[in-house]
Amino acid sequence: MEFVDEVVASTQHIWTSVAGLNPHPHSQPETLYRQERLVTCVIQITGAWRGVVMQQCSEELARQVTSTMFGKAPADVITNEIHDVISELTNMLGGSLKAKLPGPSQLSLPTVIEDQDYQLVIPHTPLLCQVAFECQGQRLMVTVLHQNTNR
Amino acid sequence: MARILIVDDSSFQRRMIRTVVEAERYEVLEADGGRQGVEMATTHRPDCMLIDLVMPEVDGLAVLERLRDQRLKIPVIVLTADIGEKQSQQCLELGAVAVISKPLKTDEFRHALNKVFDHKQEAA
Repeated sequence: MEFVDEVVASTQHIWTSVAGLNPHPHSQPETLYRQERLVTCVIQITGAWRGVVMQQCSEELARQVTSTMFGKAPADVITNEIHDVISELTNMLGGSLKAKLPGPSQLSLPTVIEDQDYQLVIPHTPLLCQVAFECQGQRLMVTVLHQNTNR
Repeated sequence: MARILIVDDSSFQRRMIRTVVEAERYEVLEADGGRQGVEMATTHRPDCMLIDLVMPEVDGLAVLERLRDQRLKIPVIVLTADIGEKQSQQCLELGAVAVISKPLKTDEFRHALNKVFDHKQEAA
């Protein structure tokens, strides 16, 4: 299986089994970057393979998932809960992808960023693959970066 | 009813694991991190602990070490998204009964719990 197929399969498995949602790969990744508030979660993988797994989605999708997971109305969900859910979804995705990459390696603690109109840069870590999904009418993006060790 | 202490810094994960544990008809206690987990293990003496491996400050390995140092013979199942051979081996060497991956698979979890409680019955 190509690694991009692993990314699709792992993302769908995690979101389906944990959140009860089924994201579908989408052919227009650039539509994620509209003028909307985005939640980004980053996890580093270090060891035999070094890089980053990143999940990004709109604040609206993050809120919808969190409201489902906590059994609350979307308006009642608090920021900490949103960050917790997205962190854990990314943590599990990172673990699943790590198992498909050269080992041994380990995951960092997740980092969450939430804002509008920002760019996240991780130097010396070029893109390995990126997959855009549609989920509940919203966009979800999974990006994997691989650290260039020949610096 | 047997009591199971869930130790995880994520309230989302604790909620998900609680749902699975309560469906198996166990009473649930929760700790929001390793430090509180060890404190509650000492005060409440649960029948089993489910601990996350990667937590800030006091992680799963540190919890296992502190339980061993305090001679608290509480069966521990480690739950982790970051499953790897070396970490799994470390957990088992520190006395964990099993190391299972997140997201939790009900059959795998049930098998691990049976291992804990069948062993307890034999020892009784």
